[in-house]
Amino acid sequence: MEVRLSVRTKIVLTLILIFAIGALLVLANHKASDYVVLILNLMAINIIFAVSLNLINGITGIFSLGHAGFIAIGAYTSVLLTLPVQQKEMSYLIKPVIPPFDRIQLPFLPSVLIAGLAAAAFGYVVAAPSLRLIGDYLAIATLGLGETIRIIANNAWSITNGALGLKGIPQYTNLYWSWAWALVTVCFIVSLVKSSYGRALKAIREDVIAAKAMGINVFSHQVMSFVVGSFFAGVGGALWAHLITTIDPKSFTFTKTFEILIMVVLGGLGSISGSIIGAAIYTVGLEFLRILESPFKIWFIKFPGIPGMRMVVLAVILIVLMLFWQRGIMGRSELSWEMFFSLFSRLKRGGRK
Amino acid sequence: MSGVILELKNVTKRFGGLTAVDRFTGYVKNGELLGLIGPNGAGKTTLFNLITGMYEPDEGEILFSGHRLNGLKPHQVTRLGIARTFQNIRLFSDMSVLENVMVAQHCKLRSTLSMFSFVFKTPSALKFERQVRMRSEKLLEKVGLLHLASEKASALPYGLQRKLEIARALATEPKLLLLDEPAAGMNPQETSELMVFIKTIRDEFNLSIIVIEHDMKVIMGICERIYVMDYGKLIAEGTPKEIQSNPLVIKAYLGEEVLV
Repeated sequence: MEVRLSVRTKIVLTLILIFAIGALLVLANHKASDYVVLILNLMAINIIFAVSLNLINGITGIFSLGHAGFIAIGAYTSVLLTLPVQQKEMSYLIKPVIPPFDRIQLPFLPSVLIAGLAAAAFGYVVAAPSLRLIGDYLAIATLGLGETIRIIANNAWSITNGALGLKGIPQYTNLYWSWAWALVTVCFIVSLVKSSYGRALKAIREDVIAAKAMGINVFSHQVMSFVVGSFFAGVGGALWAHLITTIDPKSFTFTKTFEILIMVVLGGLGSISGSIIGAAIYTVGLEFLRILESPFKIWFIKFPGIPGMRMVVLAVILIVLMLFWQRGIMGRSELSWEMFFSLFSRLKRGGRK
Repeated sequence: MSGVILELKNVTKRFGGLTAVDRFTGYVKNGELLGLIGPNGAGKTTLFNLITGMYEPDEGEILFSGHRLNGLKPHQVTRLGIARTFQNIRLFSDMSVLENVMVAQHCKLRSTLSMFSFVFKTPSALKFERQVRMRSEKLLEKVGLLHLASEKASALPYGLQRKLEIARALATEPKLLLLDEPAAGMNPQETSELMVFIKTIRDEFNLSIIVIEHDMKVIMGICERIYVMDYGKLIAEGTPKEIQSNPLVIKAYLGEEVLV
């Protein structure tokens, strides 16, 4: 059965959902343990990462593997701005931090915005040369760019404090900041994808030559998608740094990129709601599997706790998931209220059509 | 020359040692239905790629209603008013029929409407979206695909995919339409429908059309003038009648024997 809802109903329902999530967050902030709050924060940040990577990889079809690099730029930029001056003097032991960062300290929100803009600016600079390539070559080039950023971070002592990393970052990120930014990211990217620009981006993914023939400036649209994606990666990086309070170049290896790529592919390459689901499942699932790393018993067989076991199990689960859902949980479709209600009415009639 | 919309002067394109298009000179009149035929590998599609900016000519000049097309990018050429279809259908297969037509109007966007005006839903962006949807639905209605608007493009039968590709090209509001083997793979029934369709859209949208086609029934049935190419060179030009009895054409197609 087809369920049809008016635009107004859908907006109202969406607002109710947002308020419900907001209420849950307020509740969690007051009642839940620090551990649960941390997981919820990570979930929001992973949603930002996954949705922004999906815009580049899934919607526009640019197979970029440089996300960790943009996250690193966002993280370092924001930390340089928010770290208290005293902390900076203590941290930068080998070389003092370059001016003007040795004297300034900004509030959180402007720092996050500047971090996003820095990542976006970098995205703009690297987009031009790397988008001359296509497919696998582009993937390799962006992977290399991401690693380059990490290696620069490892050696630019007066900016990033090199391999020592930065500690004592004020923990500004809380549930409200992270989820508000997740909401902004999702709203921004969803309205972009649904607009004329979004259709152009999808057209580029489907067929570059036909897109050109339809009057779409493929290059400038790809750059736009890349810049928007790296802006939100930078924002996510800033939030992340102010959540875990310590960063060093090792936090931004390409495994970070692949972690996000897993979320995106798990949810469905090209589906925004899929990316949100993928990020949520991945974040919670990884924590849930921690029980495997402490000794446990199934029936009468005793399992010793093996550190790292959860990654093995996660890999198996992912392989099984990808075997049965080759295009990810959502494929390329999006969750909608219609889908929800038609499912609901089907359940009510006992599965009869 | 007045009334000429497209003019090609000594256009040459080489790929390594191969001259795909060799000093091609020709023109298209306003509102004309022009046929372009020739054996496989004669350079017909290359000529389309040169006109639409996919390739740049090595020599010669392409003029389109006062604009020089040499060196323009494909999207710029499309914006000037040249649209095309492809020999092997190139639809945006994972998008709906309606979206396929809507996306072709993205090029009508004025540069003042940036990405941000769409994200923040400014009135002018919303107005643009409404207009695009309205125009697309109107266009689909005209070509008889409106009832399939929400289907995926890849779900359409072959003949309708060809039709949708033409509709998508029309959505860019061209003055000149290039059709690359529109009847390829069609059965006789579909082919005769296509012939009517091409004539109808020419009149309805005030187009000039160039058709590449191997099906002589189509070419002889609808074209007012025909260019014949062989090995990159223009070997003959004339009305369908003249072409049918041109010995050079017969030789290029059939060797020495006379058939047609």
